[in-house]
This record gives sequence, C-alpha cells and structure tokens, in this order.
Amino acid sequence: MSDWAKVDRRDFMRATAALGFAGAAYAVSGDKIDEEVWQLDPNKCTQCGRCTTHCVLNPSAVKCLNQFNICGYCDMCFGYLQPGSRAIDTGAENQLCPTAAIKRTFIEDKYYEYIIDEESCIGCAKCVNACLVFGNASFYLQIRQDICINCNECSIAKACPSDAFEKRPISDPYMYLTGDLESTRSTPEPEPALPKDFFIQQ
Amino acid sequence: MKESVRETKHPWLAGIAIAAIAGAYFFFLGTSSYREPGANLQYDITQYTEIDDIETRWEELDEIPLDLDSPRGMAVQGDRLLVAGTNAIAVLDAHHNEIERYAFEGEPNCLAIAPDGTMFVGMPNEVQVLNADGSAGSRWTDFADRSYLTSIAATDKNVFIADAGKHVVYRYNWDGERKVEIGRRNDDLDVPGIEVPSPYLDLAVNDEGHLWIVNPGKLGLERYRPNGDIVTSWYHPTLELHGFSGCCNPTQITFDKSGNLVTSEKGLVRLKKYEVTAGDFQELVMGHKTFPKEQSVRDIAVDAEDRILVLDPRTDTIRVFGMKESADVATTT
Amino acid sequence: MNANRVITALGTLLVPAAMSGAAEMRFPPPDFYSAYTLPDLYMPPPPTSNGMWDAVILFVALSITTWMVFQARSRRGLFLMSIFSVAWFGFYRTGCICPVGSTQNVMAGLFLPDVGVSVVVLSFFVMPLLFSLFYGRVFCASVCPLGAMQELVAIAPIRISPALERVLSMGKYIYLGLAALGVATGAGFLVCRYDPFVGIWRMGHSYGMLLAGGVILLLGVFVARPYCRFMCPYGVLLGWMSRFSKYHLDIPPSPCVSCRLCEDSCPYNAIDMPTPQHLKEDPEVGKKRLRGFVFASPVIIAIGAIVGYMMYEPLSRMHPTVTLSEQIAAEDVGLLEVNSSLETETARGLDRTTEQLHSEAMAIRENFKTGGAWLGGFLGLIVALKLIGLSKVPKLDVYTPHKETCFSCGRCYPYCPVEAEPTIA
Repeated sequence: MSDWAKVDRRDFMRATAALGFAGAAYAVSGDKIDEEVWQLDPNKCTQCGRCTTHCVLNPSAVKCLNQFNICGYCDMCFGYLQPGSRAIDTGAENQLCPTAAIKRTFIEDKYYEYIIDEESCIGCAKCVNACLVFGNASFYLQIRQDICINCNECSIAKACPSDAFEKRPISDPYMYLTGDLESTRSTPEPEPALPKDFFIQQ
Repeated sequence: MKESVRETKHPWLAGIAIAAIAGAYFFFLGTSSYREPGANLQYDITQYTEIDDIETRWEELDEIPLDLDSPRGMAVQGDRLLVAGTNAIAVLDAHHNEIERYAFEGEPNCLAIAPDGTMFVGMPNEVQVLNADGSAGSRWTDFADRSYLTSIAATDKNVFIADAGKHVVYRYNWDGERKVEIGRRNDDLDVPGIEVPSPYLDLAVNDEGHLWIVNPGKLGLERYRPNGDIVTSWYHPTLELHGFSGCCNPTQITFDKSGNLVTSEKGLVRLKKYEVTAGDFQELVMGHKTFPKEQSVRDIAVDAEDRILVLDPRTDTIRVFGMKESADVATTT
Repeated sequence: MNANRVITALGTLLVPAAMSGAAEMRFPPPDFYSAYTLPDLYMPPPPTSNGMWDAVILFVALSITTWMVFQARSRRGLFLMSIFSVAWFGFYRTGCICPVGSTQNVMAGLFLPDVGVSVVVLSFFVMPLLFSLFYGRVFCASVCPLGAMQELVAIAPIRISPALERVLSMGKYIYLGLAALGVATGAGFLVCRYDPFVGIWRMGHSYGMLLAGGVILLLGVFVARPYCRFMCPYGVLLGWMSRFSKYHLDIPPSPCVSCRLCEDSCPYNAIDMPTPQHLKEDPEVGKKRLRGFVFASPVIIAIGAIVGYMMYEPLSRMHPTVTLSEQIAAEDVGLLEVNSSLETETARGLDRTTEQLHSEAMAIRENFKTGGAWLGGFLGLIVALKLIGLSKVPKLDVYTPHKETCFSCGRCYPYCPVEAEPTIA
C-alpha cells in the first residue's frame, strides 16, 4: 500500500512541475513570440571601430553599405579618398578604406558610383565617419544577417559605447536610413516624377 | 570501454595544481577583453582641424536668442535684422530686440528682402511674397515636386531663386514670372552645370549687382549674367584652409560691407573670407572649434556694422562675430 | 596614444548632427544623363526557420540518448553521441542558442514586461527539463555540447572528496543567482558573456576567453566536467527535475550484488554507497537534528538576504551604466584622466547629460538592493536545504546513482557484472 502512495505523490509532483512549465511558457511567450536578430541603429552609431574588433567572427558580421538613393555620386568622395590625397583616382595610396573594399566606377561626367565589396569590408566605419562629416551619410553600418550567427548576447552590443545595438524581429532585420527604398529610386528619365515625400527627414 | 577514477598519490600536489589551473581560468575570464581598434581604423582629419587653432582677428560678441520654431533664414536691411522661422518672420532692431512679427504659412528654408522692403520667403517648393508692411502678397507655386528651394536674392528688378532639388537657379521678375533658368549644364555655352549632392545651394548678389552662385559639387563659385551666361568661375577643392572640402561646399555665402565674400562650410564648419573675383583666400574668421557639434550652419549674414551673423542649428540662436578691438585698431591704422 | 585620443574625440564631435537631434535632410541622387539606374540594395535576409529544425534535432538527440541510457545501456553509444553533439550543436551550430543560455531568455521573459521569448528558445529551455523530469539528466549525458566536450576530455579523472564537492557545487547556485540578477536588472546575459566554450565553437573570440576555454578543458582532463558540476546554472534546474524523475538510470539492471566494482567508475561522486552499518543511527537523534535545521532555516535565509542587500554596491557594478557613471564621476573629480575610456568619451558626446546618467545609475543601484536581497535569500535557502539534506543519513542497501547529480553518462555500466555486455559495446 505504501508503495502506491509513494508513486502517487511523485507523479503528482511531476505533473505539478510539468504544469508549472506550461504555465511559465504561456506567461513568457506573450505576444512577442517571433524570433529576433541583432541589428545596429545607424543613427546612434559613433563609428568607434569596435564593430571590427569586438565581433566573435573574423572578419566581423558588421559591414558597411552604400545606400545609393541618398549617395551624391561625388567625384571627390570623402568616404573613398584619404584626406589630403593628391589626386582623385583609384590609386591605392589615395584610398581611405584600409582594405580597399570600396569600388569606384565612372558613370558619366563628374559622377561616380561607389559599391562596397562585402567580402573585403571589415566594418571599421572609417568611410561612414567621413561620409557623415563631409557628405550625405549614405555609407552606414549594418549587421549582415546572412553572416551573423546571432549570439544570445552579442559581444559587439555589449561593447558598443553608444548603445546602438538592439534586437529586431527576424522578419524586419535591417534599419535603413530611409524607410522605403523603392519610393526614392531614381529613374533615368530627364524629368523624373517623384513622390512628394521624396526628401526624407531622418 | 572502462574508464576509472584515479586515486592521487599526492593529493596536496594535485590540489595545488588544480587550484592553480582554476585560478588561471578565472583570471582569463576576468581579464578577457578584445583588442581595441587601432589608429588605422580611425578616421583622422586632425591635421586639418588643428589649423583652426590659429589666432584670428575675430571673436564671438553676442548670442541672440530667438523666439521662433526652427529658424532657418536671415536677411539684413539697414539696421533691421529679419529671421524667418515656422509661420513667422521676427524683425529685430539694432539692439536685437524683437520689434515686429509678420505671419505667413509654412516652414521656410530661406529669406530675402528687396531694397524696398518686400520680403520673399522660400519654402521647399513655394515662394511667398510679403509686402514691406508685412501683409501677404502673391504666392509663387510653379515649382516641381522635386524642387527644394534653398536660397533667394532680390534686386530691384529680379528675384533669383536657388533650387537645390532641380540643381538650377531661376530668375523671376517681380510679377512672379519665371524668366531664365541659370546653371543648367550647357556644353555650347560652357556652362558646366551646378552639381548639388546634398541639400545646400546658395547664391548672393553683391553691391555691384553681380550674381554669384555656389557650385557645391565643384567646390567653388560661378558668376552668371542674369540671362544665364557664365562670366567667370573659381574652384578650390582641397582640405587645406584656403579651399573647400567634402562633397558640397561652401554651403552658405554672403558679402560683407567692403564687397568681400564670406563663406561657411559643412563638415569642417568654418567661416572664411575671400576676395570674390579671383577667389583669393583672405582670412579665417572662425574655425571648426567654434562649432564643435554642428554639421553645418543654417544661414550667414553681415549686418550694418560689418559683423558676421551665424544662424546656429544646435542652439537655434544667432551668434554674432565681430572684429577684436585690437585687430580693429590694427587694420584702421 | 594622445593623438589617437584626439582623433577619436574629433570623430565623436564631428559626427552627430543626427545624434544631437537636428533633422538632417537626406538628398536624392543626381539626374543622370546616361541611362544609369541605381543598383539594387540587396540585403540578405537571415537564414530562416533554422531554429525549428534545431529544436527537432534536439528532440531526436534527447530521444536517442534516452534510448542509449535505458535500452541499449551502452557507454560507447553515449560516447559516440557526445562526439555528434560536440560536432553538431557545438562546432556546426556554433553553440547558439543552447538550453544553458536560454535560461536567461526565459528569466528575461518572466522578469521584464516588454521582453518575449520565441517558441524555439522556449522549446530549447523546456525540452531537456521535461526529459529530465521523466528520465534523469539525459541532456547532460551526451546532448549538451558543453557537457559532451568535457565528457570527451575527462580521460584521467581524479577523485574529489565529497565534502569538497559539496562546497564547490555551491558555485552553480551562485552563478544561477547572479545570472538571474543580471537579467532582472538589465545588466546583461552573464552566462553567455562568460561562456568559456563559445570561443571554441566559433574558433574565434578574445584571447582571454579562448585561453579560459583551453584552461577549463585542461582542468577537465583531471577534474571531470568542472563546468557542469561547479558552475552550470542550467544544471541546477536539471538536477531539481532529475531528483523527481519517474525513471532513472540504474547501475545494475537487476538486483545489485554489492560487488563494489562500480565504486571507482564515477568521477562525479554521484554514486551513493550502501550505508555502512556503524552510521545507522537512532532515528530520534536524526529527527532532533533535522528539526533544529528546519527551525534554523529562516534565520539562514534572513542572514543571506541581509548580506545580499548589503552587497548591492559591488553587485551593481555588473551593470554597465553604473560602471560608466562611476568612471565619469571619477574623471570629474580628477581621479581619472578625462575621457579615460572610449565609453566615457562617447557618453560625454551624447545627448544624455552626466546628471541624467548618474540618476539613471542610482536608480539601477536601488534595484540591486532588492535584487541582492533576493539573491542572498535564495543562496541562504540553498544552504539551509543542503544542511537539511546532510542531516538525513540515507538508508541504502545497494549502490544507487544520486538522481540529482548523476549525469547519466554511463561510465558505471561496463563495471557492473550483473548485466550482460551491451550489444553495441
């Protein structure tokens, strides 16, 4: 008889614990049950360079991007050129980028396209700083989600001096400087009719 | 596969060794840190900001607080200083006290006052005319959606309007009719075309009636005739003190009482003076250290006493810069 | 050095129209005369739905391990399973998310109102606990990559005295308590930050963490599973579950013959020996002692809570805002050079004034008073429970695995002569 009682009590406790888990699970999941990923807010970024050195990956999962629809396509691009360089050309000594990851392509008189090669970019934000100071701030950092392994505690986030890192839903993992990329896309027509909200307040 | 636990022959030795290893573990955990980014990962323009340490002949005299929402444009007429903010123009007297206020609708980008007192307020794609007494005049709305008006200058015949969005300057007559588009690229007339990578495009008319337009992308100025012909131009693309740097500079220009050009820049924010016809650098008025946090200033003007007024976006005030007294004496003797 | 500082300072100073709140106008690209179209800005999406697959694989691995422990009774099978877990959960999936770390996500979900826990994370947290509730710590046996890695390197384990074992195993309760405090106060995920294995899985980290990982594996050669026994916060929860498990690994499949052969097989002090005759005491003495400890427990808990409360100042330094505020204060009174670190330098450039920072830090420090008291009370409770547990002399006739501390690793299987050799081994 006592054996029966013993088994009952143990089973009862197990059942209580299982119910406790279920309850806790229900309590914590709430509405926000989507998976989340890390991203950095370019508006808070101070270009300190720690994204390069503090990522568990080498090279870092943080890369620079050039958002073309706010790029000035300048000949004298400070994100591209070493300050004080004697010539405006693709010479290695004139390039600001420590890994020469920015590719400069001539488009037409006085306009050049700048594309960042993700393979080479180490996310140091030198060009971001320069473009922010002198240009349109079309260069900025983002965590490339295909590279990021999404650590539970991002080690760059912990080291970021301006708290620019946050968790975002996996369905919307990037923070663009202009919300809608499509609406600001220029067309080659001479008089492009663009929507009214064309100038974007940051 | 049998794995067995060993009895140590020297428990104390083993204990010390294990304690040492464990100690090392906590030491490494505690002192774990990443390498800090070195100098080659930092953007370095010190050599160009350091030159701002040089002693100038100028000093900050005053700071005028403004009772306006996002003040953006300034104009000077005689002793009076006009500042345009959202929905209102404040008129300040020689002592910087507000004496009058005119109302209009909208968020202005720029302000001009004609010799007879008529005011022109530039919105992103509209110009509102206010009569000299402040009553509302006509509204010019024939601008494109893409237009972004950044500067206006008014002479007794013409109104010149800079449109950064369309990369062009318009000449209007006083009746609001568009007469000429100035600065559009034209290879036959050797007009290089105004390049505007960011929303800054300024123009000014000096006392001789010459129209000077900034070509921000080329980092210099161009002089045009009212019919759109280019007269002359000069460009100084360099980070050095005598030139302009970045994608688009100077951002603001005006003329002082002796006809010299006063410029302000974005990025390395600094106020400088030039001889306008050839573009010869004259002097640094105020360097980047005076505007440590500003990306650029909103507007500059020169008042009746030849002081330089700067509309500072960080403080939303007008900062007044004047010649140091000692310097003044030095120049007059 | 100084030049560097200047540069960074300038960088920070120049930056921030955006940060000073001024609305910086963004501008369109030029009109191109040639037929040039803007390139697409392709930003690759995160790899989707890996999480669900990970959960499925975790379930399968737990099931296989359970089968190994109960049906196959194969030490070799569990060993092979360990190799798989190290390779898959460790090196291939780089150790995130793991059930150990998920503890903090769940605690964050419980403590912080605006934090949710995704289904995947929750299933990673709950699954091993449920398995533990029914089959003992099969997750530790060979599914957890941390445990598996240590199991693999434990080739020359030495015996640690049970008393020392008990003292050191308090470490995991302290770690669990600190982790909870860190989550509740917003200081961060301590368990992930100080995970010595994560650098090994990713084959890259700070040198300190890589060295720590190496050192703990070296330690693990002689002291088997040091992390699991003395540090693992999730192990605390698993142990509690396992204590009440419906089924648990038995050393012999049929009646124990008390041959003592398994005594030397367990490096974890997890086999309870039959109680020697001379220790069997008068039940009345035991009851008296037990009563004493039960009445003493509230006092122990209260002392713990008071000590924890008094520790709020050093404890609060685990929060970055508090350290930052202290650094800035030290700089302001001249104890440190101004802008002595990138953190203070940046903080001074932000909109937030130092006064705001200090008051924020003070508010956080207040939280640590409450949190410290809870932490101390929790540890006091653990101590009290341990004392009560110690005061009960078990009456065992046969060799039994200790359900709370046994990792179900199967090291004792090959030693037991009662069973037939497993087919796989």
